[in-house]
Amino acid sequence: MQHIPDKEFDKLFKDKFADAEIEPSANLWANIEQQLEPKRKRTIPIYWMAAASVAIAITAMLVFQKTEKIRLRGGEATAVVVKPVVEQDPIATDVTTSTTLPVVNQVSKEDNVANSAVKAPVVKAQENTIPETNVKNIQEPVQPMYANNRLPIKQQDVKPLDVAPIKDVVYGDNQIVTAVADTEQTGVETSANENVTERKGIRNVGDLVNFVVEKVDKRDKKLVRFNTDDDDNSSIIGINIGFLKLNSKKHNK
Amino acid sequence: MKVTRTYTIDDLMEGCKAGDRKMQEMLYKQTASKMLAVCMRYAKDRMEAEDVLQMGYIKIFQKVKEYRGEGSFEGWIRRIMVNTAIESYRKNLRSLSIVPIEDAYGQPSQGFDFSSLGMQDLLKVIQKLADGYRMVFNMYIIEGYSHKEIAETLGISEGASKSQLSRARAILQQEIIKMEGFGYATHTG
Repeated sequence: MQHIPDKEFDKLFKDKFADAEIEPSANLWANIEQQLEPKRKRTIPIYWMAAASVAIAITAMLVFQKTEKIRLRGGEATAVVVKPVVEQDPIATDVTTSTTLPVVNQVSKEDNVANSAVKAPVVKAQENTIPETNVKNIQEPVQPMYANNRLPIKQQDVKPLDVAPIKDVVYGDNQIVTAVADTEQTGVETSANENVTERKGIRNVGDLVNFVVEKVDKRDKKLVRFNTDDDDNSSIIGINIGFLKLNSKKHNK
Repeated sequence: MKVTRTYTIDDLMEGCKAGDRKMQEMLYKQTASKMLAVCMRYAKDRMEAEDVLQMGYIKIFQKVKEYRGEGSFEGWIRRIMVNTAIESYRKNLRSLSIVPIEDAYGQPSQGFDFSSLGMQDLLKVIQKLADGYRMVFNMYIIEGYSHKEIAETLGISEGASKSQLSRARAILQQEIIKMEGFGYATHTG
């Protein structure tokens, strides 16, 4: 019995396997990747959502600039679009672009002012600037140039709406400036909302989006609005991209 | 992709330390076929080998931060792979499957035609070995462990390691002759 020497035999194996390569199955990496510790879930989505929010914000700005231009170029009749504010809000009328036409907002009921504590300070602040003697003509100081120079029709539209509130207003000090206060109404609300957001902090993606949108979109109905809660759940409750508006009623306060 | 080639294995190691998924994948692509060849020697079949390969890489990516640069990175990877294979063997330790020794002494052996033997052929005969034999054979002959180390790792005595190795050799020789049976006959006849 002739045995090949162990050393030689061992060397045969060692050499043959020294640089041996066998191609693994194609799907093996996918399996490994799956088993690897998943990347911290939050990091990527947050960056994603932040980027998405910025994109939304920019888009919103572009869209608004556009509509503004269109409105300016358009006929006077189209300039004023008076539409009801969110259904549950009895306050009344609101102009699509309150920032450029601060004048047009008018109150239909004076008690709104009395009810809302938030508005009170603003109202007082405005008192100083507008003398009480002007109360009857309150519309004139508020919307002089726009109405006279460029948007005569608007003035006509608006006047009848104002008759009632102005008369009532004369009697109470706090209510005097009702009309003025309400022209600022959207602004006040926005800042109120901002305060709320800041108080709650940004706890999740929904808050983040709300925050960014709030900064950019000053309309009543935001471009996008999320309902958020402490359980880290966000659900979309409102969309407003011009032609498409969506508002979940049960989330409206 | 050419980009792959611009990374040295040490670049990949650093990337893996940072937990970079892309670098992990590249390291895998660069080393997996060699490592599968290692696993195949320790496993009964390809399926088992790929299971070990998978476990090995997960361990590698988890432990890569512990690599301190002693020895080559590839050597370190290989060591983890071998350890994983041994661990897997110990976990599934089948009831002592000892191959009857007399098989090993049945036929005269008059030498091999080394050049005609491919790696795949050798792999086949290795995989046919009983698990214990295969472990000792791989660890001693290919990986270069001492009998003492093998004994400690596998939880057997040094003597058992030695005797299993010589049996493994004998069985392998016999198997190779069988495999080469036809060629061998024409040479002698």
